[in-house]
Amino acid sequence: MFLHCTVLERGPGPSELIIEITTDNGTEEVIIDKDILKEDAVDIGFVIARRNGHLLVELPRETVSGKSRVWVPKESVDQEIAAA
Amino acid sequence: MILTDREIRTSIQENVIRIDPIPDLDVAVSSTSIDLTLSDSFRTWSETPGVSISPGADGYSYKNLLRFQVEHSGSYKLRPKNFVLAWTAEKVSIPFKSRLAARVEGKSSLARLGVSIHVTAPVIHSGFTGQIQMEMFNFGPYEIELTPGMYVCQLVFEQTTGTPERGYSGIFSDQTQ
Repeated sequence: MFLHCTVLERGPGPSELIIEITTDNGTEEVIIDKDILKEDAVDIGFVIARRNGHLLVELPRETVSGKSRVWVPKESVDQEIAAA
Repeated sequence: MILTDREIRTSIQENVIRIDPIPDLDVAVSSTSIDLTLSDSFRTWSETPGVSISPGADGYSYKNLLRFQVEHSGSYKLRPKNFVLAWTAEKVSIPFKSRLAARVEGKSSLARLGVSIHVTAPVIHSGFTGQIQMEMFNFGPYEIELTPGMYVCQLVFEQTTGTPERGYSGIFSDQTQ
């Protein structure tokens, strides 16, 4: 599964990016390795749980505020990302 | 269970653990860990009076803090009581189906000089991909030159007893609550 995101800026590390994701509680920044970005999304593996149209997912790395798992709207997750 | 030298080499050869570039395994692997080297990228926090950071506040943004960071490349001289962010030269990938996680730890060669390589964040989760960030601090009395390519940390791999939920497509991943 892929979670859509927006690239904000180059990250602190030599191969890192800062991305922004939308969660049920607002936006969160995540610092990721650029290799895991596919188009405008990151691979999150399988969904952990579902509730009322929202999905609990585990992020590739914790958010800058320290969250590893977040609830996200189901519209922000896709099964696959089409190849460029 | 902690992977031993033979298991580390086999895991790398079979792509269960990916390390790029692959270190010289003859010397980088020891009984229960693999040594990684230092990249040439460093970042320090500028000493800016009056800056107060609230990581737990709504709207906290690391991006907004980048203006307080100073980039350095090449060798870096870490002065006593100073802090620097650094990264391994190697990119490490631990697929979440590998049933492995890891811990990054320091090396006694640097520790005896007073240099630590992380600030209480050693866990490399299953599913991680990237160059490993180190939060280096010099507790010793002398300036320490950090040279790209030097052995700087070691990875200890631990076997998990199952596949994490995000790597498992069984009934629990689709449960409705």
